[in-house]
Amino acid sequence: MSRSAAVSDAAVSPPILDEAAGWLALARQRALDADEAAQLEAWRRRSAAHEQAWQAALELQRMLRDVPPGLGAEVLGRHRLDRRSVLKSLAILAVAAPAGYAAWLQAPGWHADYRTATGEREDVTLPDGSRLTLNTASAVRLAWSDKERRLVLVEGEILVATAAGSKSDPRALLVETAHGTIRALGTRFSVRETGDGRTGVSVFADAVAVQPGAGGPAHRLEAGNTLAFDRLRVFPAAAHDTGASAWTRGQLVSRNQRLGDFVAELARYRPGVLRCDPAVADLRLSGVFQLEDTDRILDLLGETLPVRVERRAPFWVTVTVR
Amino acid sequence: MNTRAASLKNPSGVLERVYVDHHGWLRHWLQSRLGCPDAAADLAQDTFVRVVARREELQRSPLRQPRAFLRVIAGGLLVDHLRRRDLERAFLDALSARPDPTALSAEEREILLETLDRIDKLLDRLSAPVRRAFLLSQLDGLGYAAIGRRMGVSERTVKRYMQQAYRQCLAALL
Repeated sequence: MSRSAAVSDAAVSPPILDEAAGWLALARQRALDADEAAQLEAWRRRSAAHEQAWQAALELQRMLRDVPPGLGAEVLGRHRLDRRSVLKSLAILAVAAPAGYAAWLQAPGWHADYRTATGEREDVTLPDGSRLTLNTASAVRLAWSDKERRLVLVEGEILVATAAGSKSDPRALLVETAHGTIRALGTRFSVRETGDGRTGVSVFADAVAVQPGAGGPAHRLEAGNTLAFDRLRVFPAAAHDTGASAWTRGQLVSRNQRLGDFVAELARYRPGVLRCDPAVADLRLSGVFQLEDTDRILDLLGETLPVRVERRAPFWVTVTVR
Repeated sequence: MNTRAASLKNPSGVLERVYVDHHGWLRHWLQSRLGCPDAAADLAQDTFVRVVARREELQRSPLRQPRAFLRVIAGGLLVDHLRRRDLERAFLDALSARPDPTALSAEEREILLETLDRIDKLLDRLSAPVRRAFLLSQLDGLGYAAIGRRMGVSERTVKRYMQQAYRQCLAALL
């Protein structure tokens, strides 16, 4: 009985679904005019299946309306486990010879990719409860196993804050970059692919151990300090200023910074080309800027410094002589 | 459950054997991925409930690779469990970040979480750009042109994404 009901439910054919989705997409784009509203009414009356599809559409709209927007955006917009790659790994297993099982059990349990576009910033909770923040244009792959919690920084910049209880997690927490590995000995640190062939590390609580990829001794870096390393060596550490983690709050902090360096930093957060004319690159500036609106930051430069912001196109901007 | 257990009696005892031979292994497998023995035990149980639901099929053609079979079933449950756990965490985080987390009653919270869970399941089937466009429209209230600028695609593409999102959600609801 219930089976035959299910069959009649399935009578909503793919074309009807397409049309219902088309109406929803149009109604979301703009208010329907009187003609269109009448057409939609007529469409609904065409068959029971049409009406049934529209009832589902109304239910969907109701569900979405019931969600408070801000909270919904945070919860539903969070970075997700990559379902497909989880399932794919499992599917590979299903056809693997029994001898392959043991190897699988030792391989990283599952992978997840986290990625931000230019100008985006994202907070993620990792499976062990640690927090990961991705800065603009960043990508991280998770390689979790029974023995270690490894984060592979593919590009960009991340801040890692290990979970309060994770000292009891016997597995090491590692960040791997193209140049080597950073082992967490404590709770909060950031890692950045600087784009000039080095990895930058800043520690905000406790310490980390930095290991260049080519080998050699690990280098311990304590809270309050920052350093760069490449595959061969670790460069001298220096105290970082308080602005080092400002990006996690959506801010760019500069203290007596060269305009050229500031613009290069700002360019990370904007799609397209942003350049600084060498003639003004040595001007200095200080301030706290909100990264949410980089156009506003550019306007501020024009208002406070003897420079002109030349917009040849929305995505082609030069800071030059006034 | 007892009557069901009795009905499992069959000449080959296929299901009993699958359970006895592989239950411990399955729990261990799940636990190594979840890190939580209780959740692993629950998911192992759910997995066997699904196996029991397919008993006729299994009696016709016995399993050649029972563990691979169990892993496929358990894998689906595992992914959904992780998704739900992730959702709950994000929900609690989002609530605790609000000025007055107690403004919602326990019941309202539960209803809201269930609604979020239903939508989340629908969204899980969408590709990342389609989902992003859908959320920017539905929750952030952005128009198609603004979404296009944000995502670096044309307004027409956004409309296509939206239609795709609606279509997949409707198909899942029907």
